[in-house]
Amino acid sequence: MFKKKAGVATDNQVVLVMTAPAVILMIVFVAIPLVMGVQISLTDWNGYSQNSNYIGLANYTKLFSDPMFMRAFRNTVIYGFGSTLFQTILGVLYALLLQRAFVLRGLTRTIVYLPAMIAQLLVGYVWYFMVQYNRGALNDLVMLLGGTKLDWLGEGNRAVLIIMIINTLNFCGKAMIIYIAGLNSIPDMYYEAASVDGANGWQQFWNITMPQLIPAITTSTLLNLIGGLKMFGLVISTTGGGPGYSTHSLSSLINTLYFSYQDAGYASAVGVVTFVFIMAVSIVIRWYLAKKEAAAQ
Amino acid sequence: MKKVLCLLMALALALSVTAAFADGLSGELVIASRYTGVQGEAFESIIEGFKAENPGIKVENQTFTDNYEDVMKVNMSGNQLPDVFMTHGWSVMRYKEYLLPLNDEPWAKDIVPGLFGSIMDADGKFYVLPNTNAMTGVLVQNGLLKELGLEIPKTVDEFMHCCQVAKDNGYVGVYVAGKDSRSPAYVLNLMAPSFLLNGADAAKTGASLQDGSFDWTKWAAVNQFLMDLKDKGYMNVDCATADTANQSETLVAKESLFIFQRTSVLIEAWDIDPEADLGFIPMPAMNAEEEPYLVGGESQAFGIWKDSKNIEAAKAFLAYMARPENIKLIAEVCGEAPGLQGVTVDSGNLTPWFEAWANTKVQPWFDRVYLPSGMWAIMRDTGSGLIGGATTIENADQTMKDNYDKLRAQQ
Repeated sequence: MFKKKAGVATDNQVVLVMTAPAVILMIVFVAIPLVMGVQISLTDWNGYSQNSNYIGLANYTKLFSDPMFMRAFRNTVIYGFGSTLFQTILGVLYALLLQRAFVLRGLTRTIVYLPAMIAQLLVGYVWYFMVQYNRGALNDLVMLLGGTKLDWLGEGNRAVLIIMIINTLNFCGKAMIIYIAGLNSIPDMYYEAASVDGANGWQQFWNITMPQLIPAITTSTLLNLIGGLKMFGLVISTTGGGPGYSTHSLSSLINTLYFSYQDAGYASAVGVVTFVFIMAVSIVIRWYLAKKEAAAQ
Repeated sequence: MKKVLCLLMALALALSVTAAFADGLSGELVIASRYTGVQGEAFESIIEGFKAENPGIKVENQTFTDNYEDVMKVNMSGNQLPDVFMTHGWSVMRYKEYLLPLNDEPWAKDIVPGLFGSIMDADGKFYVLPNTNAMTGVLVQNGLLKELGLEIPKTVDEFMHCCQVAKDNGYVGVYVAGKDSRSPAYVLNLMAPSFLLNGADAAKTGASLQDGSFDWTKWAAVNQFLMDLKDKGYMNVDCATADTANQSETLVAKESLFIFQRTSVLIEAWDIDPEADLGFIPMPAMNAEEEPYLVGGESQAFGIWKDSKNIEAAKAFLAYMARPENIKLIAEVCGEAPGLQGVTVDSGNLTPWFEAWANTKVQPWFDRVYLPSGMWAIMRDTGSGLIGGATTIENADQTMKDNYDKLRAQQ
């Protein structure tokens, strides 16, 4: 009869030991703060005092009548879905273009990808200097073409769109890399067979490339969406959430409510709702794209 | 013999070390400030001097910049603060719960009397060494004021007239760098006494702000002033989005006439052009019957965490910092008046202005005395919202009232 040698770990033990660090980190940095966040959201804690009062669901009921929260929620949806849409389009286009062999291809890929490696705060400051009213490069260009200077970030809705565009340009390189990997995994024989059957470029793209790219689209969409929905640095560095509160994302609003408004309880409620919202969106998108992936097989 | 010699040498070494610390203190001090650049260097030199005199005390100098307040709030929430930390105007309203009363310290008798209004609580206790007195008014491009043939405005109407003349001549009347929402909030905070604390009811209104019975419809006048500056075209076009880095440049370049800010902006401007004819003037009064005023109070102040394990060392550090040469150094690099009496400061280009307004009435920073902690952020948001067109005066007034009530209830 086979007998287990003393001191030799079983497969289960190995798995346990190897996953333990990740599980511990998740518990310490995600699970415990989440539970504490929910706990704080049920109080009127100001964020620094040693005292607070339990106020039940008051912070949650206040959310949906608060114009600041509603505005930040709307902006977050624009930052998240808008950026993801344009990042996907630009990412696929860049990938198709830069997959082909040409001189300086590597350099071009690097240039497109580079902004994704720079901190959002820095990217935001650089863009601010480009779009600022006085001495801004964009206004210099406008004036060169005979136009009138504009305070680009001075109007809330326009500022939200500008931030979304900056975010798109900042991270479309990341999408490009994922799509290039996806394109490289498509076997050439599909295209060869399609050519033999007389399919033109558009038909090949629509019937071979796109279905085969679905796994890459799933990965890229989820990453970009979560990134956009969590946007913080760009808002802070371009507008600081202003004018007023018109460009706040949920993340920057949480920061403002917690530290400036000294309303940690309410900030936590916004945080919990943000978490649930991002999780729900991610699950739905993941489910939808998984279905597409299965259909494409 | 060798062993005896070694023992004697070790004993001698131990005795010499003991002797070195016999009269001194020991311990490890953590000091937190938000000094950077020239101010950071000056503060570091004070710490080095203190360490040289107190070799038994180790000092860790923690510097935070824009996020200083956030870091301190996180520290307070965990009831784990640095031994000595900067209170930046909030020793009573925000930090009192965590600070050690310092009434019995030897330097206490030298505090500039005008500062007690902002650093002393209702029980007569104060909790900080006020290195400086943050005196400010409206920053002015004095050369431009003269060129336009204008006198220093004493009333709100005269101030508006100056802005109109500046506008008519192609200049910006009031420069607001609204990307940082503190910029419009300074207008509200500095002008609030003019509109609210005047006439026979001044004291009554002040008391109503402190006891919670204030009629917030009166705040509309303050918001209206901000909106008038905007609507009449006296502000820069990009008032909602301009960066504070441009403030000193616009003064030096003679593009703008006035800025509502601290005098440190003038120091930055003189760094660009030491010859620039700049200065500061008292806040305009609501009418000719009222007196223009400067705004002053606690600024570069440090307190001691009441639960510190190094209280004696912390007190020694404050005593060292209170020496005239150190007060002078901090005041000069910050461009502020000294917080202790008997200290003569060379404020460079600011000196004639400090002298000119030596007898001017001084109002405390409005939010620090009359509003609960946290209202500064509300002023920032409402001010920014108003000039950015994101809110109306009525909504801004209501926001102020709602948050005032909420924050008062938290106290």
